[in-house]
Amino acid sequence: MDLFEVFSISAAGLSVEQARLAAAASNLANARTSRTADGRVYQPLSVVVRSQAAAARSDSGRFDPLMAADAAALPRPVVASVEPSLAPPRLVYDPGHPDADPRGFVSLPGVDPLGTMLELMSVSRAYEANLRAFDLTRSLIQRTLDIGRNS
Amino acid sequence: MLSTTPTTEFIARALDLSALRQSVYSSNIANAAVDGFHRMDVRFDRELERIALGVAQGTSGREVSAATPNATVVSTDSLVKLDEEVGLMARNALRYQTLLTAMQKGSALLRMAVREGRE
Repeated sequence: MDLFEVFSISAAGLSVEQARLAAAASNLANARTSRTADGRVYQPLSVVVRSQAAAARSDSGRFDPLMAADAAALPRPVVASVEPSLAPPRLVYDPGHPDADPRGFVSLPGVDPLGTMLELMSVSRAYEANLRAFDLTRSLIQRTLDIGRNS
Repeated sequence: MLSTTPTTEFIARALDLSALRQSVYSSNIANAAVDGFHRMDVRFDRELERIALGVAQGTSGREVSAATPNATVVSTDSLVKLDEEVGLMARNALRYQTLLTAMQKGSALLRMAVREGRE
């Protein structure tokens, strides 16, 4: 059983949560971006996460191949893509705005502030949990190294 | 040989399985953001019971070590709940540390025997 393998699992979890945080921050920051570089209204981003098994490793010389295989085969999350969500833009009446249409309406991104704040909270909790897992694994390894101390 | 006394063998096996649990819970937490991910768990307690029974009935260490660890990682029907996973992980970590302490006590006994009871 290789406890060191767990670090890479937790690290994958941490980087996925960072990607979700970045997307949520970008959505909140761009809540009033009526035109982006391609000339269209900003599309809120959503992160698509998939899990993948680690690449099968061929280390037949392992002491306990069964247990090692089990830990290495556990799924790790990866960011599959960051895609613009299909939320329709909000129309706000502002005839003086440079991006207003002929009727005087400005298209603003369909960012859902409440949903994004909830997403932020969920990211924060998940990040903490991953850090906790990382820390516990570290202390288990530390304790294991202490076997036979003071003898 | 130290490694073939039933107790150390048993504890080593339990430590291995506890470490596997730690990695499974960590993986559950890491994959919490994946849509449609079902939490995974380790099934091995029955196997441990069987080994413990064997030890209680005086099975030799060699037979215990011959028992293949039947730990399987299974996917369950339930979704990941972060608080639950962290709780399970904390409990498992305590179990791991208890096992480590037990192992240290075992080697302390041996050490005492080697030193003929002198500290």
